[in-house]
Amino acid sequence: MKITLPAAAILSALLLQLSPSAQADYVYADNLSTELPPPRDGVDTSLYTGVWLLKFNDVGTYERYSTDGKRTELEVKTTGWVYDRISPTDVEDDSGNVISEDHSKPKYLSLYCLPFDHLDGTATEPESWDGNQYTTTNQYYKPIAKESKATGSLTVIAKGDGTLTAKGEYSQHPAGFTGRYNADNFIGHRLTIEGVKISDTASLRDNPDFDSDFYSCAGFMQKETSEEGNLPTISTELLGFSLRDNQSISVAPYFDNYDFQVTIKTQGLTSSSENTSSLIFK
Amino acid sequence: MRTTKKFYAATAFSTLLFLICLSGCSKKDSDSNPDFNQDVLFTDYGTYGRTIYFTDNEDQRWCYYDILSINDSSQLTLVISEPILDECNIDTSIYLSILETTITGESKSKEKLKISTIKPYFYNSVFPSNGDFSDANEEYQSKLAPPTLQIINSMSNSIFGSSLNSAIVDFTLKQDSASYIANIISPSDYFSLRDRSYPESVLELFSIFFLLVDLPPLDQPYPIVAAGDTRDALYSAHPYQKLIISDDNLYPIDQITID
Repeated sequence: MKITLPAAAILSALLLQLSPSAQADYVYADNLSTELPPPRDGVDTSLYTGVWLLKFNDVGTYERYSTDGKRTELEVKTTGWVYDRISPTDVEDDSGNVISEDHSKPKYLSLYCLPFDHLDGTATEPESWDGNQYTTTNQYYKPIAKESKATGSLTVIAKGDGTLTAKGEYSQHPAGFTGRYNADNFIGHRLTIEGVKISDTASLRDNPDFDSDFYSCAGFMQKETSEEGNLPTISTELLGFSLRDNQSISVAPYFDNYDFQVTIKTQGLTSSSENTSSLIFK
Repeated sequence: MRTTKKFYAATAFSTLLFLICLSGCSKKDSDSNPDFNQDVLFTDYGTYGRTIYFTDNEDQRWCYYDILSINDSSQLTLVISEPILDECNIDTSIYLSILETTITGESKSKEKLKISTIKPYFYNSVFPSNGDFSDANEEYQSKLAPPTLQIINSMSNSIFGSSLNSAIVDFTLKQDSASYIANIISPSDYFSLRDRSYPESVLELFSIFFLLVDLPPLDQPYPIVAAGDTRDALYSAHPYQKLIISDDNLYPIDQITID
């Protein structure tokens, strides 16, 4: 069959239309720096509680020393989109049963699935928000000296219009230490976050606004790793997932406005299967 | 034109300063924290031993063995025995708590050398009565036999391990002729689950377990890794002496001089 030039052009355009990478509104790994959509229509912007869609940028540094004193630096830049929640405070009766939720006392973003969170140690949260903002702090303890050493903090500011921003800066913490020599030790990072509120219900699993396969933090990021003297490597990593050795991403993750989808292939001994995980608004 | 030249010169100078700061400042963060560095100051590698005596709140005197092992600039191992009433001795087999730590940095202040350690890994072993490691030492073999030691191992990890995973524990050494004076990283000589606010039911279970595995009961002193008072006089009276290890006796408490 002979295809004429105009027909080929139309066919190409159609194929491009069908190809996910050609979908202008879709946010894939290579365009995660795209602006977030606005807060979803109808959400109560006077309350901070609910599900938030966050965009983050993080620049982290590792250093490695050889036994002869040579220092090698590794920089890891990440940009990602992720769902997170701000839960209301549970109100309990005398028996400890939850009887209602107090949305005027919001809790805090967990951020646990962000790339370097577990390398900063445990964040200490304040007792409550200070107006429209709060600051979490990280530190480590020195039992012999009986002192604590501050290593970082993150300040989250809700703007009252369904958006928030956050900035954090962290220095070296024991949690990111792997060995004195010939080991990559995490020595700090700078984190910025923007967020838009997308649901008033602070749940990913049981939410009247959308259908979801996720229980908590979920999303993906692009990661650029640069080691001195080598070309940078770029990879896409899922957040809130832990892929087993026999699993891989078979359809690239993407956000479509507030929706998210990724397909994972599981390779068995004799056959393979694919499973799509998504969060789709109704 | 003159202004433009000045502007370019100022811009170039600012950029240079910024670049110098960028390379220098990013390194300064880690360099300025004495808890993390690559300065190797202690090189007298080997295994050292001492005894620690203390009196409990009922005025009874106790002793335990303490072994320090540093064989390279990356790892520091501390071993403490269970406490023994009155005098240290090896008449009966003794449980040893072995604490392997990773060194994060070394620093010096006056004549004292501070070694910062992290991520302790605990496990237990047994030193045999009279140093007899043979199968014929039935009392030793019974203490060594599973599941006792495995249970103690997992208990030690669950009790001690988690609380110190994100802490930096400083070990301070001061050379005194051929020996070393040092703090203990277990400044409190009491292992009291009662201080840890466990429910009574849990304490009862622990009591039964301690009785079953022939450990000192809950109210007895037992070394614990925790914050405590400075006890310089005690450490000075019991300096570390160098020990000779062998493949089958890594922690030769039988070589430690008893007061």
